[in-house]
Amino acid sequence: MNILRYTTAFVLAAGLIAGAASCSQRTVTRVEPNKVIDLSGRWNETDARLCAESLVSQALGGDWLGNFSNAQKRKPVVVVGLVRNNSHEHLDTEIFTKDVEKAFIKSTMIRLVTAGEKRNELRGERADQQDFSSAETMKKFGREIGADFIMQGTVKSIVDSYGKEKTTFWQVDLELTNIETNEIVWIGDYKGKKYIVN
Amino acid sequence: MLKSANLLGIAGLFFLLSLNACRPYHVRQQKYIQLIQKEQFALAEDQLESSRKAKKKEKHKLLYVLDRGYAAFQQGKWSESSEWLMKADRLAEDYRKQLGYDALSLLVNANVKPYKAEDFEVVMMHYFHTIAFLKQRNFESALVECRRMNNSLSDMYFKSSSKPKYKDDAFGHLLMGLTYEGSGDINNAFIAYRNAYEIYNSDYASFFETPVPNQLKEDIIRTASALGFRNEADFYRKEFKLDSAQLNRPKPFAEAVIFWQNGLGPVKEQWSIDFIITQNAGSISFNNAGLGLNFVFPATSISQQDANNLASLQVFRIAFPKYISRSPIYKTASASSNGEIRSFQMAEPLEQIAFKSLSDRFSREMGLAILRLAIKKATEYAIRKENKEVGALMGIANAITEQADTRYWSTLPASISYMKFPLKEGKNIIIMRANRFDDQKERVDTITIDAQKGRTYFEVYSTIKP
Repeated sequence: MNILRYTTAFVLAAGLIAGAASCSQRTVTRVEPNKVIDLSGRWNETDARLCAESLVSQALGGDWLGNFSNAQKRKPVVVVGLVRNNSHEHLDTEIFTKDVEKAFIKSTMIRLVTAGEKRNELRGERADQQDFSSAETMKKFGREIGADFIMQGTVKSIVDSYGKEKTTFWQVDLELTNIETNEIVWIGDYKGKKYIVN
Repeated sequence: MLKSANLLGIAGLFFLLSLNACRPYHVRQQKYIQLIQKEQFALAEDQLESSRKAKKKEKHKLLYVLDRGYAAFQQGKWSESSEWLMKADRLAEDYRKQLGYDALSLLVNANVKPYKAEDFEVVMMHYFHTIAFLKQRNFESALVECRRMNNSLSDMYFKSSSKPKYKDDAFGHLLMGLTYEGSGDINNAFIAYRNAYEIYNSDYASFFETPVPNQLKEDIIRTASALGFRNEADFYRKEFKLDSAQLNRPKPFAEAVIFWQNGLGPVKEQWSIDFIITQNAGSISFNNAGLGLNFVFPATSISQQDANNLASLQVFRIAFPKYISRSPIYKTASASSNGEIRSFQMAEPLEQIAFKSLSDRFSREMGLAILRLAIKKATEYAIRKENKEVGALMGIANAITEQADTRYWSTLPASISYMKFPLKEGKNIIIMRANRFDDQKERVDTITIDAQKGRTYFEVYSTIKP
């Protein structure tokens, strides 16, 4: 019965392994948006959310806000500028800067003005209105609110790996600069680290 | 009437054959490769788009997305190319050993596993991706890609043993330097140039007979001087002994960095090696005197019965991959415009790198291939002793499934050379000339650049067809 034993063992082994190696059923489960799920070890939506939460609380709790409001007797006007991606991953920094903007508006302590491409689009629209809109509805030039501060930042990362193990460290730095004086009035950061075994 | 054992044997045969039924990826994509050879990139892309099977196959997915990225790249569809290359990057990064596939590959062959990119293919993936971003003047993303390449290179370096082998890529560091410099980051450019120089000067000189490009020497001295690193600048001036005319060239209005992708890299094919098996006390050795190969395994690595079975086979044949050159048509190339003529300098001898990569891991892979076949052959022999017919069937199955993993990124160039070319204000028409090995009529193309002051433009010149 050796022959039976050999062939059976061989075919069964190949069959079982092929089954285990190839197909697995795809499942989809709905989860809370705040639930932390790390799959690949790359920067993901949880990092973006934690980063935004941390930076918003640091920015709103900073002395710069009270100092400005007390001295000027009004809310500061902020423009959110560029956050440079100096990391090793292609990531969209707008995902967390948009959260920061939303938190600023919700706080009612800060006024926000647009920057970059959106500002250019607005200016284009205003220019068009001068030619195509009625005199009563046409918006005037030179009425933009000048920002007091610009928020800028960088995303940096350090990757260290050996064999199957890897650590990824992230640091997001944001700073607020007084546009008139170039004084940096606030710096906040978010740091995150992941340990990945492949 | 067939006995149950015979039925099982036949079932086993069909099962093994079904696992092995698919033709290798590059064989199935022959039409695509032929269109690339004719430089008909749009048609080649259509061909890929229509190959539904290739899209779905998980084990070939990496090759498919790399091909899509390449086909889009060659048509100048930078954004689309970038999307495909991003997918490829994630697949390559997430690749990990899966025990199920490893065990299955021992019973069948390595083709049943998802494709794992060669180290130099990963470097090339980052090269195409970086250029795709540079062509869109997206330096921020190009630099992200350079950092990713740097991480891949350090992984490659640390996983290698102390043996002399292809363990770092000079061109990868050079590309990083060029990108950093193009973005205005001279400090990082100098570091990357210096790293590139060290690898060219050691590994590339000894393994591939590729000398340090003169342009790189010039760039190291120039960036060191610009940073105020006098000691370094003096050191490299003495080391390189460049003539003063080259070192004191005036700063151009703008500059083009042109990469010449020449020909197509080698194809990966299968070859068979015969081994004579001898059983010694406590070990089994597989010997091929002609090729000078001798692999010795402790007898404990398989059961005593399997060892005895193997030893009685005396000879067995094993399939292994090998690269075969697709000799490029063009030997040299140059660019000329505005009274200036410059020649390309070799930066990445991909063909030699492919040969070296495979020979570096020959022993390890051959060991695995022998182990794989030993298991199959021992089983076959045992069955043959009991029942000749079923044993013969098993032998046929083993012969058919004994295949080398010949998958590879089939459209990489045979080599990449580069140059920096000075540009004048406004429209520059650069005449590109490629000279053939057979001295027949040269190939002439043009590159047009509308230059703005102080900018660096990145261009690709590709020559595949005659």
